[in-house]
Parts: sequence; structure tokens; C-alpha cells
Amino acid sequence: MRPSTQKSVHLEFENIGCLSHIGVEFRPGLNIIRAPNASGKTSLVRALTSMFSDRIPPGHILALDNVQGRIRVQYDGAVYEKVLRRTTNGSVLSSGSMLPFADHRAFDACVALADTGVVHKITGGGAAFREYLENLSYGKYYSVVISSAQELVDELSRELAGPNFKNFEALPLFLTELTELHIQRDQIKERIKNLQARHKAEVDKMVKKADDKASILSREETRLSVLKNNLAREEEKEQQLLSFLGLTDDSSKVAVRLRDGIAESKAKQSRIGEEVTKRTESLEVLEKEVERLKSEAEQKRTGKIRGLRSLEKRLRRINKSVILKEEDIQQAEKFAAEDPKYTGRLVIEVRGEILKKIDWLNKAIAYFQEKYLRRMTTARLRFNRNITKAFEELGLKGFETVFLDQDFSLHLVRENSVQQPVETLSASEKLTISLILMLAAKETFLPNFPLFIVDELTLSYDPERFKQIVNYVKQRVPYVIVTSLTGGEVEKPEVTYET
Amino acid sequence: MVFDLSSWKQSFEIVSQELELARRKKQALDDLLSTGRVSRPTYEHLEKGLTGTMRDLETQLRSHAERMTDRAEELEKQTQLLELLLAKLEIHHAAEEIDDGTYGKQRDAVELGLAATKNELNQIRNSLMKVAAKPA
Repeated sequence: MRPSTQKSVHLEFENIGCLSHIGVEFRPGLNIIRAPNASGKTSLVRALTSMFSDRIPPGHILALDNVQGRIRVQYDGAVYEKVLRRTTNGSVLSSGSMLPFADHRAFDACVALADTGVVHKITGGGAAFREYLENLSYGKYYSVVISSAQELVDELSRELAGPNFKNFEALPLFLTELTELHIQRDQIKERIKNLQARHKAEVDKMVKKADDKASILSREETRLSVLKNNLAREEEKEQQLLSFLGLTDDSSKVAVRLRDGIAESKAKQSRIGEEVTKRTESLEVLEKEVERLKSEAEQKRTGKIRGLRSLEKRLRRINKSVILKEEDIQQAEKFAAEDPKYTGRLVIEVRGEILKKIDWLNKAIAYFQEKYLRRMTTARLRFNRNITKAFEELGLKGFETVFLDQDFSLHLVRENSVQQPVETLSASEKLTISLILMLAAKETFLPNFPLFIVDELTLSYDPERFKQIVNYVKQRVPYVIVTSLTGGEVEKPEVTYET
Repeated sequence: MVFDLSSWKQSFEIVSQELELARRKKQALDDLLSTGRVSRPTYEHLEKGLTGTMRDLETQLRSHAERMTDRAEELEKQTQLLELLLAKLEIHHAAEEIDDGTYGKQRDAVELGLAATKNELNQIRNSLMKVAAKPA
């Protein structure tokens, strides 16, 4: 904001720094505050600065031995007043009105204090200068939004890395393990089935063998029975022949034939008897054999199947593992009932909500990053334009170009095209570059701000360079305020003017 | 087309095994749902991943099958060509246009090639039959 008519600015301070009371006037043009060391120059500058920026804490302004101070500024026909009060706990509070052109960014772009000046910023490297331009271009707001959103994303991502979510992420692995257990279980069941089938086949084979033997035994028994019948019939026949022989004459032909018949019958009986004995013995062996086979078949049937027990044991163990794995899966898909945040909720649902939030935040980050980049790129380009303009107008020799690169690192190129690191500049060159950058910043971001304050500028310059710089500044800013160290008898700061 | 028999067989078997495992997993997952061990949303989340995997594996398997079919056709043509060559050789020999020694050497070479071709063709056909026999 440019004052409607460029009139004097009147300031009045009470209990500021080492000054109990002072009134000064700043006129359009160059105002030089002259005073010896520790006589209130910086206090005055700080107090004035506090009327358009809140970057200087009130505690740094109010006199240490006072509980109340006052800053009054008369500007453009109006009075602006700020009161500083020390509370019982020692802190200092300020109240009142600020100047109409107050802008917190002016502290960075229009006030070069010896202890907080831009010199520190340009020597601080790309990150410091980026921050400087972020503040001035309001890119900081986007930067804060981006870093806050990123922080939230990080927080949510950390939450997703928690044990419940980790277990949930392991579900596909659990499912694979469960499937492998199922496969093992099926394989063992198949082996058990095969083992049982093989055993049954063996038992059936033995039973069949016993049955076959039993049927042979049965046939043999029938044969023996037939033989015994035959023997009985022969014995009966012999008895009949003997009884007939008793009735007949011994010398008769009938008796001879009867005796032959008896002898034949006896021989036959003897043969059959032998056969019966033999068969009876063989039958006994066969009976024992059948008995043994049946017993063996029964033993086989009721006995243990070799290898079955260990397979069944393994099956039981796998079944147990299946149950445990299923429990793992059940636990992994849900938060515990005693979970303080997501009591008993499904992890998939909570995870979905968190992922949605992360997605939304990432979109916001991308949106603000684009905005930030655009704003910062524009700021950097405008800034570089103003630096070039300042160098041209000032006619400073020794530098071909000074510019900020994409990483906001300051590049100083000497006339011989050699890049010079900022740190290697002389003190006066550093200050000159800093002032030019600061003015470029002011022209870029606060073109209408009416004040430009430089503390202790004269210390680093010869009178000619000082005049050159001040003239350059004067052309751009209505009120230039510079502090200058003087010796002599002056007690309070005095202002001299150059239009 | 370079066609390494052992490598396609190996990758075909690997893909088949992976597909089989994926199908078993799907079965295990279905069981978990039917027994109430997992909720429907978790089931759908896992099923989605599994279906994707199965689809990819089936595509790979189909691609293998297509390559194998192409190769089988190529081998069939090769077989026909070799059989034709063998028949011509027999005719030339019968007409006594080539001597016994040359005939013997050439016949052995062609028969060796024919046997190798038929062997590879059979292997491919067997594998293709396996693919066709597996449920989709």
C-alpha cells in the first residue's frame, strides 16, 4: 500500500529497549538513524518493525526494567498504537493496532537486521532459500498442507503396518499353508485308504484260502464217510457169508466159494481199513490246517495294519494343524474384542477405510504439490527477473549473472563465467548480493510496501558504494530507513534525511 | 521359432502345478466360507486375488497350448515330408538309381529324423490331452 500523499511518518516510543521515551520522524527518501553503540538504534528499528509484522516477539521490544511500553505511529493522517505489558509471570503481551500495510512477510523482504538478515538465508543453501521464498510467495501454505497430509499418510501407513493389519496381509500365506495341510491330509487319507484296501484284500485272500481248504476238508470227510460205509457193508457181507458158511457142508463147492468170498471181503476190508486210517490221518491234518488258516485270517482281520497307526497319528496331527490354521485365519480377519480402537471389527473393512483415506490424501498431496510447484516456479522466475533487473540498473561489476536454479540454490557467475560459491564472497559482496536479493524479493512479492529498513548498512561499505546502493533503494521504496554508527556525544538516536 | 522341448515341458508342468494349487486354495477358501470361518468381505478380498492368479495361469497355460499346437502342426508337416522323402528314396533304390550303400545311409538318417519327430509329436499330443482333460 503506497501512502496517498508521501508525508512524514511520526513515531513515538515509550520504554522500548534502552529508550524511555523518544519521538522521531521519518520522511520520504533516505532516513539515517545515527547513534553510537548500544544507544537504541536496533530497539527503534525493532519497535517500528513490530507495527507491521509480528515476527519480533514483544519481549524483545519492551524495556527490561519496565512493565509497560507504548509505540505510537502517525501515518497518512491516522494514529496507530500498540501497548506492551509485562505479565506477572514475566511474559510480554502486546495489544493495539498495526499499520494499514502490515504484512508478516515484510519482515523477510523489507527488514535487514544485522542478526536475522537475508545474508543468513543466502548462505544457508537451497533449502533455506526455498523456505524464504515459500514464506514470501505463500507457497508455505501449500507446503504445510502437503507436509501435514504426508504426515497423516505416514501415520495411517504406520497404522496399516500394525500387527492386526500385518496378520491380515498374511492371509494369502495362511491360505496357502492351509491348502498345503489339506493336500497333506488328502494324501494321508488316500494312503490310509490304500493300506486298508490292501489289508482287506490280504484278509479276503486268507479267508478264501481257509474256505478252499475247508471245502477240501468237507470233500475228504464225505469220502471218508463213504469209505466207512463201504467198510461196514463189507463187514456185514463177511458176517452174512460166515453165517451162510455155517449152514453149508465144508466140502461143498458152495462152502469153497463162500470161503473165497469171505477171504475176498476180508482183503477188501483190510484195504478199505487202511484207506480209512490213511484218510483219517490226512483229515486230521487238514482239519488242523483249516483251523490254522481260519485263525490266521481272523488274526489278520482283527490285527493291526502295519503303518496304519503312524499314518492315523499323522492325520490327527494334521487335522489339529488345520484347526489351528483356521483359527489363525479367523483371528487375522478380525480385530480382537478387547481392541480399544476397532473392537471386533473386520480388518478388511477398517483397512478399506484407511486405504480410502490414504488415497484421498495422496490425491490432495498431488493437487497441492502441483499448485505449490506452479507457485514456486512462478515466484522463482519472477525473482530471477528482478535480480537481473537490479544488477543491470545498479551496474555492479564483477558478476555476469546471479540466479536461483530449480533447487533454489543460488548461483553466482563471475564475468569470466566461473561459478563462485556464496561462502567465498567478501563481506561487502555478501551484503550487496543479500540486499539485491531482498529488494528483488520485495519487488516480487511486496511491490507496494512503503518501508525498507537496513540495520548497520554503513559498516560494510565505502561511501561511494553506500550511496550507489541507497540511491537504488530510494528509487523503489518511499521510506528507506538505515541505521548508522556514530561516535560523539549523542545520547539518543537522531534521524537525518536525504531526499 | 526356437522350441526347447525340455524347457517348455518344465514350464508347462510348473504352470500346471501352480494352477492346481490355486484351485485347491480356492476350494479351501470356499470351505472356510461355508463353515463360517471367514466373513464374506474377507472371502471376496482373497477370492479376487486368487481368481486373478488363476486367470493369469490359465492364460499362460493356453499360450503354452497354442504354442504346442503350432509346433505339433509343424511336426506333422515335417513327418509328412520325411515320409515322402523316404518313399522317394525307396523308389530311387528300386529303380537302381542309387547304390545300396547310399540308400542305406540316407534311409537311416531319414528314419532317425522321423522317429525323433514322431517322439516329440507324441509328447506334445500327450501334454495337450492333459490340458484338455483338466477342468477350466
